[in-house]
Amino acid sequence: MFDTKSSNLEIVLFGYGTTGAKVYEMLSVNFSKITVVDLDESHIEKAKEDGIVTSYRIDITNDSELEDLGLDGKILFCAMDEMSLNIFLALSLKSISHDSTLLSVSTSAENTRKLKFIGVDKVIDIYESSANRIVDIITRPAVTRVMDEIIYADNGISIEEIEIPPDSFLEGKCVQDINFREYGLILIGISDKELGEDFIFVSRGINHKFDPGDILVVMGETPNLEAFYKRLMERR
Amino acid sequence: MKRFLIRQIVSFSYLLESAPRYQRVKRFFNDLLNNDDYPYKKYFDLFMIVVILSSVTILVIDVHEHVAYWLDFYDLYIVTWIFIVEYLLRLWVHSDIHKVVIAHYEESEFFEKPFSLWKVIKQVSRDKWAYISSPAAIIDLIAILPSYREIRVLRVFVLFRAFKMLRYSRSLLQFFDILRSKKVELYTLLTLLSFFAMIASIMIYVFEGNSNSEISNLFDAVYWAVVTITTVGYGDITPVTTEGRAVAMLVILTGIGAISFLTSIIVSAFSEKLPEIKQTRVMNSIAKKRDLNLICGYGKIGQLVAKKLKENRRNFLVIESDPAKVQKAEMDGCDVLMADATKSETLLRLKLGENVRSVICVTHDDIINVFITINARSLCSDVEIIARCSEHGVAKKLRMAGANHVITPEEIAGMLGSVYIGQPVAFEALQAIITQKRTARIDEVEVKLGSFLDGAKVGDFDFAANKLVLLALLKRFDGSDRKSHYIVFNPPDDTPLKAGDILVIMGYSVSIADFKGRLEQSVRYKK
Repeated sequence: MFDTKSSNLEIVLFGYGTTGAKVYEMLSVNFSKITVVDLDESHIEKAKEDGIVTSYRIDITNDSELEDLGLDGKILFCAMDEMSLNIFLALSLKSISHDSTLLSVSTSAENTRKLKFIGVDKVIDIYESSANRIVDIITRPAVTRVMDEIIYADNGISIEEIEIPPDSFLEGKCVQDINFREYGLILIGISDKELGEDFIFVSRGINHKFDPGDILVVMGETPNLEAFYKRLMERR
Repeated sequence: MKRFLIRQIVSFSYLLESAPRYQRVKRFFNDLLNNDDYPYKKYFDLFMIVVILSSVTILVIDVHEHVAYWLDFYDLYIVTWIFIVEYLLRLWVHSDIHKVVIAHYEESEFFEKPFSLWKVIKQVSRDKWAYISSPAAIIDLIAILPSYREIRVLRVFVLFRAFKMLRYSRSLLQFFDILRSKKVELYTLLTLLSFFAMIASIMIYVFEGNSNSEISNLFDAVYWAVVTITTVGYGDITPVTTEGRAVAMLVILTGIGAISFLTSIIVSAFSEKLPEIKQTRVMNSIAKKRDLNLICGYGKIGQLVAKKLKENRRNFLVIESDPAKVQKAEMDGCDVLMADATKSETLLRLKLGENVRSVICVTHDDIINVFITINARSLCSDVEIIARCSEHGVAKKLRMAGANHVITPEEIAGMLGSVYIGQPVAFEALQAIITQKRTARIDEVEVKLGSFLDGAKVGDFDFAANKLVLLALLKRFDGSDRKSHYIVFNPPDDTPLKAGDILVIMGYSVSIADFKGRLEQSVRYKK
């Protein structure tokens, strides 16, 4: 990750039960600043055993205790095993935190709806995503394999999002002017700030004009991505 | 002389045992007559039904009008001969005589005892008698009798030819199966009814045998009793004395009770057998389906998988042992089998090796998932197994047991969260194309033998101009089986394409459909 952004992200993970522990395991691969918080003393003991120093037991139903954690600007991940507690927690966090990203796990379509209603930025339905994966394995095995390699496997191939800086060589050029294959990259799409948050897939065939602030989603090998990033950062 | 005979019989038995042609012929007839899964059996059944119907029709017409000579000939000789041949064939395939001879011979050799021909004959006749005395075989035999025209009463047995049809109709057989399950109750009721009918007929005969002109003998009395007790009551014989009328009243009341009892027995038998009938229907409907996906467990994930597979129009069958969940699956309109997937019998019944494409173990219990995985893998080495688990240790065991893919829901949630936090835009974009919510999606296209891509290079086709993005190429390992591929990301223009390679492309549904269509067409034209 060459975006210095991601390594500086601070994450607060709520819950260290069966779900929380697994989520921590996955998060710790990419992120280092993770705080674990749980209501249950035994869960925190387990977290300490697993070597997580920044793990605290607090009463998550108490707003003032939550505020003491310093939530603003952080990533908040609700992964309590009990769904009702999770929803309550998400609601408290939404009301007391500012400028933070709120994520939550969900176990059913109904809970997902409630969480979205609260205003959680990203709801991950653990069963739905598992079911999706199973169905993908059956219906589109090759696609699943490729996506796995890109997203999860550590083989140098990845998808990255790169924000176009001001005064880069891309400025004033269109999608079709640049041959990304020359860089050994595939351009998947562009998120244009001018057009709102809408994501434009290149395959739609629109000859989009690059502007500073646009986010490119590109796929390729890490050295190629790094070279492209360097090139992009050079001022004209 | 006797020893010579025995030696001849034994050596002939060994000859049959080692003759593949004989075995093949016998197996063919056995399949044709008894094996429901044998594709040609239904043609044979249809043929027999036609023969039976024609014979019955001829015999019925013959009652009043004289049928043509050739029809009579057909009925008398051809139909009868077909029946006789069928009967003998069934008798023949029912058991193997030569196997009995060999078994006895080898036993006597082993124990150094004299070979007893008498024992063999006893054993063989016991085997064959088991067939001859079965109800179906008796009907078959009686159905042959009407051809012996000299005895007029035998013509009644023409009806047995109609009965013979039962053998060829599965649904009718099922009806009798259901009645058979209530044998005891039906027997009791029948005994009770005949007992009452007997008492009533004797009483009416005693009271009215002299005073009623309609009742002249005991048979008339029995006839009256049966007509009354079944609540039919023709009214051709009516009691005239007070005593007789009193008997009639009692008989009628008993009759109503008995008949309602009979109805309830049959109805309850049906409702008890209903799940079984449903299962048979499900088994029959999936028997013809190829590429079946078995979903073992209808919990949260199972339900979602079933729903999504249905949307993708894939064949699937839910296997669940919890009656409540089975009912839920039925309500959701899924094919469901109430069975235990950890039993090999269940999976064998579904023809794991032939019809099943994948086994999805998504019960809530890790241990059961491991059992199902082991069970499926031990029965079939190339079926795809996807198993769910929630513990790390179990994941390892599942892989050892032979699962191709292990799904840990919590881990996937963590993974997705991690990707989302790091790269929200890329994540949303990928989510959109993976879940196919928008029109842009990723799909896979196999390079078919003889299509325009077969033998071409990646650069020969302008993907960009067709609004497609080639993400990766799955190339087949040379000389290995169809399933193993290695991945080439963003393949350079000079990469050669061969039949069997899979292209992973991104694009809008229309472009992908168009590309696939063109690929298909080029195959047709090259041929």
